[in-house]
Amino acid sequence: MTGTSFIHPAFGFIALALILPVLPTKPGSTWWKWLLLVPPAMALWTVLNLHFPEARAIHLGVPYLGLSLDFARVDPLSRIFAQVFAIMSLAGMVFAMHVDDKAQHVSAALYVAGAFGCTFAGDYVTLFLFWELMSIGSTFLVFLNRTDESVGAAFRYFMYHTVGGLLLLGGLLLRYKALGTFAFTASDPHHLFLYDWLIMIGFCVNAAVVPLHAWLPDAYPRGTVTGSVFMCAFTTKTAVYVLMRGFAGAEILAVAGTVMAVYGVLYACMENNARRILSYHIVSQVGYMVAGIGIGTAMTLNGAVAHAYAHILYKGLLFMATGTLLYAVGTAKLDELGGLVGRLPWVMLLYMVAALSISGMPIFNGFISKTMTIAGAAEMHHHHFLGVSGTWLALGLEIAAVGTFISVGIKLPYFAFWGRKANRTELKIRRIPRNMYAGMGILATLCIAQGVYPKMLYAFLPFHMEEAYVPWTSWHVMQALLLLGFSGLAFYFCRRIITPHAKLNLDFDYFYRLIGRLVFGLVSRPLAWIDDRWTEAYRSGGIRGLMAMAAGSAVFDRKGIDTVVDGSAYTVRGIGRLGARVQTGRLQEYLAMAAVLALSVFALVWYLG
Amino acid sequence: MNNSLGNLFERLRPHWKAWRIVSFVVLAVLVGLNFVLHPHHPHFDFEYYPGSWGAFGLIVGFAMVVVMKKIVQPFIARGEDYYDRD
Repeated sequence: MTGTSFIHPAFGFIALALILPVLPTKPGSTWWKWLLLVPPAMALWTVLNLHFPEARAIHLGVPYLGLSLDFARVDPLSRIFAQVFAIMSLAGMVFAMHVDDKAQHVSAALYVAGAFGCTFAGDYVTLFLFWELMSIGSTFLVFLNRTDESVGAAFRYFMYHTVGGLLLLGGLLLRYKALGTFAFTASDPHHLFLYDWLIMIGFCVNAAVVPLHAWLPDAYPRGTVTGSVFMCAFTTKTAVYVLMRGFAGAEILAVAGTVMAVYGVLYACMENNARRILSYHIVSQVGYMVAGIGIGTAMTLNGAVAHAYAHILYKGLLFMATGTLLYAVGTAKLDELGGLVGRLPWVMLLYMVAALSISGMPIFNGFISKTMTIAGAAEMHHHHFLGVSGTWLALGLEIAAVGTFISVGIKLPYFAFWGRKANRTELKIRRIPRNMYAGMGILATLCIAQGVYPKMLYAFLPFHMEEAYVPWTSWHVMQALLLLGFSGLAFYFCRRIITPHAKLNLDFDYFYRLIGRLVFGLVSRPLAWIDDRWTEAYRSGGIRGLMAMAAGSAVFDRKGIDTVVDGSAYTVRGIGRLGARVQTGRLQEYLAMAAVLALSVFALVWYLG
Repeated sequence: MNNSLGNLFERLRPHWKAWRIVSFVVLAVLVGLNFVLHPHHPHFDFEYYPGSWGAFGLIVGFAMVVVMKKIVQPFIARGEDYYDRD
């Protein structure tokens, strides 16, 4: 390693994940929970002390298998993402401090380490390693909720992300063959080759780009209360970061992002589960960022970065507040909630800070980030993105803003805290631990601080703009208040229509499951046939040599064929109940092995470096 | 700590009609202000008309909810255990 003072933030989180399981603690002891705060604090300290002249990057090359892996590409773009990741990891760990289940903390730590690793990765191999680490960590955050629902969701989630990872892997290998380098540099957005597309689609899986998004509203509502808080912040935003690195200016992203922004709000206005509503709003909000990346001007790129920053803070807070509801009341379904404001007034207030932030209300941070992307899109009115002018993109993003305020700003809090239900004095409410309030308090403070002092955020924006964007003008405030005020009126008029129902709304995962069953049938039947024939041959031919051969083949059968079946199965989702029952047991082993492998590679590299 | 704030909210709830009047007045004032306050660099042609963003929010919001809840949802809604059945 070079002689820089840069301590990779992933290091602390991986160390935490390794230490926690072997820590000798008595049941009921809580002292070890303070250790959870050490890696985030270290990360924050490191990131806040990164001062360097613009456009000069620190690189940290580590030799591995004849390659020089770049674990630390530190420049203004990676710095700002790492900064918000550090803040979020701190708030998230504070929020999770009451949790006794160490496995959850280990998973969260590995997951966050993966996000930091991706952020600082200077080459595709490093990126891929951490990309997979994230996928493993987050799978456990769903799995460890330990309900039948979450185990199934975790399995589907892992299969789906493995497909995304394989696309990325295929792309980066083809790219290496073509270019002779693994360096993670920007592709020419106007001349994308097959390998670029593979990599981009791999990224788009994690960015929840419609129609590849359905894993998100499937998994996030089923994660643990604290796990979903982590997940809502890191997976999609890491994907936004790598898309920005690799594919800024790719026109298809401009259109795809706008579609995401609108699609997410349309689904959200039908949904009943609070965490599922918020999940669709991740799709929608990430749409703003993806659109900004696709448009690709300095203003929209900065808008996308700013929005990612603001989004992590308010979305984390939204998931914390709804998670707190779930923790205290036992459900996050709106048709079962209502009338809780008298019992949980502070949760309501903290929720509202985040809800007004995501809606882009002045004083809150969405106002200073969302408007930047929209204004940047509108300025490209003369330019066409796959035939769609910037004006239409901006209009689409404004439509999404209306839907956001209606669903997250009014519908969710109205039906959860108010509604036409009386004060729920009869309801048993679990006492909410103080650390949960503290975690929410950190994020709420930052949401308001950024909204009032946009410079806090703008000072770190990585791209140079000819003219600085000024959010706080009387017109911008006026426009936001008019738009949101009358969206509120629209809610008032249709408050009886929008009343949520306990229903499952079909989404693209219907097709994932269909494809899953189809492929499973195609793969398992021929294999079962071969297996049968083989067993027959094994029985009838009792020759010694064949026996020996068969012993070897049995190993092949176990290791080879099963792996093929598993491997193919992982490439699709939903293989029915029988498949799920058979596979769930193996999932843990598979995950654990993959994690151990990834970690040992990483540890080895670290040690040798 | 929780109770005093919670009680305050509970005391405010019966007065929702008063809050509704306040909200309507605020909306009217906003539209009124829009007659004197105009965008310097309008991004869309309709921005010249006072109250146009209000109309946008109202129409888009209303249409979105009605279309999704009344037209789209009946087609795609299934029982909550739909995927667990088979």
